Amino acid sequence: MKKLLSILLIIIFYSGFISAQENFRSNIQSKDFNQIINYVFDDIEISIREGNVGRLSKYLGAQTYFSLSNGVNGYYSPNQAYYILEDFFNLYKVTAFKFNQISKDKISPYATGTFSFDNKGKRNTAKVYISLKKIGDKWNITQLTIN
Amino acid sequence: MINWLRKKFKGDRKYFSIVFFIFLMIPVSGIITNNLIEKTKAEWFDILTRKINYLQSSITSDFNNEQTKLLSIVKELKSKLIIDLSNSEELYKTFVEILNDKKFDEYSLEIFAPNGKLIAWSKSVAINQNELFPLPAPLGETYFLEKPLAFYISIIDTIHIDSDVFYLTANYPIELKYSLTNPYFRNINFSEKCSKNYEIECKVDFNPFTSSTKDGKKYSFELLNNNEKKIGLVTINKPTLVAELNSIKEISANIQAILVFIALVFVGLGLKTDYRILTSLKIKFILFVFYLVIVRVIIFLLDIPTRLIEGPLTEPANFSSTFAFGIVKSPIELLVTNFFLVLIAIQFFRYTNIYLLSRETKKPNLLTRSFSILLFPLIVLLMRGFAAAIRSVIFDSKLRYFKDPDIIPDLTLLSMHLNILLIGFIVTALVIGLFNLVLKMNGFNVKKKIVGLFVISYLTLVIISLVMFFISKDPLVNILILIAFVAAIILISYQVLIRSRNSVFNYVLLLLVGSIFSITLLNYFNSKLEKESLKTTAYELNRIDENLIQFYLMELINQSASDEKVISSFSQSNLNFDALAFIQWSNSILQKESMNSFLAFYDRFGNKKGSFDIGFTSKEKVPFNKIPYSDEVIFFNEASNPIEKSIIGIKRISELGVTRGFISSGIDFNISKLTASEFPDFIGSNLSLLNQVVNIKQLKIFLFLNGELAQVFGDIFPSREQIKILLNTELDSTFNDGWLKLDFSGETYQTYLLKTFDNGNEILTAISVADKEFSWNLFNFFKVFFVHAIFILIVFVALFIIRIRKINYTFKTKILFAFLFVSIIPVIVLAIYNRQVVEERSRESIFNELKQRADYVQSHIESQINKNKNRNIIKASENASNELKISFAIFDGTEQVFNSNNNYSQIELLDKKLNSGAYYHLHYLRSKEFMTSEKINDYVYDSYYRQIKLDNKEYILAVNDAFNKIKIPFSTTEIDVVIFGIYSFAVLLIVLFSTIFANQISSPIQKLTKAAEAVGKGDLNVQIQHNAKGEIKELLDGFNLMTMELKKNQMELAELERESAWKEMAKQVAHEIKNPLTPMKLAIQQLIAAYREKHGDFDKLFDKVSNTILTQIDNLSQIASEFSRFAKMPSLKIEVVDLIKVVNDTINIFINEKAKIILETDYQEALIEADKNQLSRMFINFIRNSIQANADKIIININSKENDFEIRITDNGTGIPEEIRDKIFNENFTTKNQGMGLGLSMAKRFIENINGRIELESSSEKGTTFKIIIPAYKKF
Repeated sequence: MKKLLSILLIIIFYSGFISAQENFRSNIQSKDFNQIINYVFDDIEISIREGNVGRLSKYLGAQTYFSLSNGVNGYYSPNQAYYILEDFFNLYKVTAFKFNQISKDKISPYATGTFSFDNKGKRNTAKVYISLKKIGDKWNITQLTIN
Repeated sequence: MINWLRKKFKGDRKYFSIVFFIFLMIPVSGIITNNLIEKTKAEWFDILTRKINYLQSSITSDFNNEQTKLLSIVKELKSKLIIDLSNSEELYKTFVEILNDKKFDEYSLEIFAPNGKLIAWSKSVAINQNELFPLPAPLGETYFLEKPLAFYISIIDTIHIDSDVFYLTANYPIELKYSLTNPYFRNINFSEKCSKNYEIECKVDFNPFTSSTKDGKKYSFELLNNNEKKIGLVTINKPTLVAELNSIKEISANIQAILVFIALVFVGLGLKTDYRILTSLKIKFILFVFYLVIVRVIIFLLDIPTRLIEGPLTEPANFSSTFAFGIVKSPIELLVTNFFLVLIAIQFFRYTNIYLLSRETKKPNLLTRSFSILLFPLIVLLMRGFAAAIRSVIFDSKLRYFKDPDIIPDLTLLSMHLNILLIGFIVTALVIGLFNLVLKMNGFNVKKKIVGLFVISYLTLVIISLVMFFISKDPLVNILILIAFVAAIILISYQVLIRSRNSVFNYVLLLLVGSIFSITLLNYFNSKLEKESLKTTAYELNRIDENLIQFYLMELINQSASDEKVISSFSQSNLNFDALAFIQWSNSILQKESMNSFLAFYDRFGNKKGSFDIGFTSKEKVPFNKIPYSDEVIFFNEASNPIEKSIIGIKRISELGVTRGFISSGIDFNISKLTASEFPDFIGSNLSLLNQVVNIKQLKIFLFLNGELAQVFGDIFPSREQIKILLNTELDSTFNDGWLKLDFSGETYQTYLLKTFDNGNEILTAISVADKEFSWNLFNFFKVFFVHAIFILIVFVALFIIRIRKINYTFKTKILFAFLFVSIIPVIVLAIYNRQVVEERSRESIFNELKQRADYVQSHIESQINKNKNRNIIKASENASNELKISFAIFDGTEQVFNSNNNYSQIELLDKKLNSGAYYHLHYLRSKEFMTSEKINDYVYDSYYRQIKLDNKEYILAVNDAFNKIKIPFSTTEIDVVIFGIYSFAVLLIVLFSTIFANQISSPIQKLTKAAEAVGKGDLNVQIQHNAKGEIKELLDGFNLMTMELKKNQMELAELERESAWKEMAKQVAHEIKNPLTPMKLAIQQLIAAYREKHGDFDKLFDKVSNTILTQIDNLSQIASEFSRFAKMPSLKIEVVDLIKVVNDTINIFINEKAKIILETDYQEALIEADKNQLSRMFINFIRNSIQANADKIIININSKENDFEIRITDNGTGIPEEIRDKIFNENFTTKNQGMGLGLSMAKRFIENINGRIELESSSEKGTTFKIIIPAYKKF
């Protein structure tokens, strides 16, 4: 009986330990995920604010969907995407940009924001929608809409 | 000063002087810009006033032009009506007939009877029955007419016929309220036009009562009609100082960039002469490439031409690559880069050809041979580069090269087609050039038979290509294309080196081969892209998730809610809310992405006021009490499963806390609606992603939700086995995707699998397409080839014109013309005939298809009415439309009473009035049926009209192919592609073969002509080299024999003449010498006798006799001088001659010699005083000597030095041995077996006779240079 109780105690102890460990690991992972997503969106936010295509281009995958207010719409290769964004930021000079909402969904996180620009002396704003997807170890932009 | 300038602008120095001035202008332009900026700042108020005045007058003038157009149409129409109606008995019929005239198609014209009844109208109707009265404006005055979708500039006038007054209305759309991202959309927008033309924000208010803006940053002015009354108001944003200064800076930067570019061009021109003098091809080529690379890089850094042009040619979406720091970042940049590469490729091809055909071939050693082997991989890498470039053209571009609806594409596609052709040409020329080097390094010699070398080189190329293909991880192309390209290279090499050396038409051949292979690769990579598009489709299906849809809906709803017109419309009752919804929807992303969606407006009780629905129907009522009073948009998802998305967003519109109404929008996204079949072509977006690469209807899509087949798109269902295969396929761990092949109904399908997760559900998307659907076909080939053929023909014609100017109308050109005429004319006639026949068949086919649909509709409605006597025509039509899935309209008289697509009539995108042509034919001409073309914007469709009798009443049934998709055997584009593509290919082949055959036939005759010309000028050494057979062989051999005989006879004759002359001269000399000798002898005898006889007057006699002897000795001396003069050159016929012309004429004699003879001079004319024939003979002698010294390149350089012309004749022959160099100008000196040794001595004597000098400047084993100086002719 003693033996049985000892075994039971051991099982409970280990179960508790494993559970706590799992919980801890999950918290760590979740914390990591949130940090990474925050970092990625922060980096994208800075890239857009600065109109820095070089910095933004590291998030471009093999095919990225763009829907931009200058009429660009469709899937583009990284080659095209680079100059499309460069042209866009040259035409619509960013005066301010900030994400208003960030969804940290583990499968398809997205963020929406407001993009203020100066187009040939005319100031205006546009709504931005960016969604991400993890390919291997890298987060890629799957869609960038500036409408 | 003038002299100084003259010096600076003499010869090549002028180019550098220009460059110097340009570089001076650059800082000057900078100073001017700064002054201009300062002046603009200081005088900004005045400038602004002037600018505003200018804008006002310009915009007013633009508007007046539109107004004048309308007034002139009204005037023309009225005069036509008055003339035609005076001869007409059927008044109303004539009205309709006149308004149907094609020239009025752009206008909406209506004629109303005195009672206000609409009796005639043109193609489109702006003012309908009952809309005329009360008159909105005084008669004869223009005004703005507002319709639901557009503003018109209109006028109402009257025409008096007999005692009746008819009303004539004319309307011309000036601004559309909606805009579509659609290839058929014609954007008529006066405000946008002004904004674009004057680069200022401009807005026109088409209302006479709008007051001027009070915003200090804006300026308003009135638009006046033809009676100077205000009918509208234009408001512009005042130009700002910052914008003006930026504009000045930009213009200045553009000017400076252009100046630098011009300077670079002049530097090149300035170096031209020095470049030409260079003899080393290697150095020449390196310098050439160096110059071009520098120019290209500098103009790239200056952002030329991108900074100077705007539009699709500079859009990176159309093509861009990060290759070489973005030197090909847009279609125009690629074109410029290609232009430079073409120049390099041509020069490389030319130089390697010259090098290969030159006689300086050293015996190749092992090192050279080994090095040549390294060139083979370079050739293969070049071919790989070719494939990579074309792959980039396909994958880095949104242009779909084979999907363009027109046979002649737009400018962007045209430029990309040109780029593709140029890439093909560049690679082909470079590969042939490298191959030339390989041949030369392995001992190629023009004089030797080189079959073995060719075979070994070709085989090596094939083997190395294959080896590199098999060892490459990603060989880019398939083996068939590779082998075909290598074979083509071998054939061109053979053609260029053996069959037609030095022909400029070889470039046409290179273009043709480059075109064929670039299109083949384009086709090949396009099918790869089509395969990749399965991936895109899978991404697209997964991209549109709930979050995105909500974002789109929120955007549209908020955009509508912030529009003042929309908000104010809630208080109006008689507004066309359907049209308002369409206008808002058309400007949204939902139209751009062709999403099944709606936008609806509801009153404060939740009842629908109007909507625009496409593929997703809005609700008649919204649960208004469930919608919060806050500013937020509420979403409902009505989808039945997690895969489908059917989301509706609603927002309450309130003002000061009072609800005014609701705005709702919805998107329905599921695979059954992927084809966007609800979208007619004139509404759907050209950006509809899924249709960009493959036809979505060809796809089979299977969606699995958590391992269960949840949805299928297409007519194929996978079997259990196939489902198992699909679910168990191993996917890539990084991308969660994979490929497999499935067999459905005996056909192989490429299938792409993508696993994704959504709200905890695992979704597996499988997209399949049959292998046969990948468009790897001849149709695509010819579609692009036709465009290439046009470019190639332009090049051919240009080369032909350049050549024809040089060779005039020769036998060869006559033959070529004859060939082309005989072969191309029937081809063109056949092409036109075929096109007409197929077009007629297509038209017949459309007619029959529409007629058949009308039959179905008619019999369906008739049977309903026969069965149910109470069923009205509207109900019966609705049933027929729903059950038959045929779209049609029914007209009662001229008014539409039913339309399957009533929403388009409702928003007034389609007219509710019967087509005027149909009205004329069915009503006045009593035709039973009628077919015509109609338009929405630029979208043209066919409509079939038929009279039907239902329930004893006459109706008109209309069926069109805008809503009913008709499959015709061939579309117009397909006909054009097949006919023009194939025929253009045939024409190019004809042109090419005609040139080759004309060359072959005329070549012996040309040789004969030139040889006869040389003989005529005294060159009897000429012999024609040929491979001719038959009569031509006999003719050429006969000629050669004749010249040999002539030469032999000439030599014999000369010998005889010389002998005879010597004899005669001896006789004359003897005779002349004898004459003074006799008196001398007599005198001496007399003197001797006197001496012996001791004559007393001996001294006297001695003097006398001595005098006599001396006189006779003088006579003898004079005789000697006379003979000496007689022995001199024949007398010269001195005249003023053009040295350049003489040299050119002489060179032409040697045109068929293998040696290349080049005249280098900057002069158009060089006048000297000389005997033309002697001069020509002298040059013939020099050239002939050079050729006999094995020279294959002879350069005759003419320059001026002070008052003389300096001529240098340089060859690359074997040279003159050192030991004989000082004897070459001696008479009778020769090294030739048959020579007389007179050539150079006669040349020297001739040149000295015209006060010139001749000398041997240099001679070595590498060649000889003679220098001749002749005084220039002085005009007094």
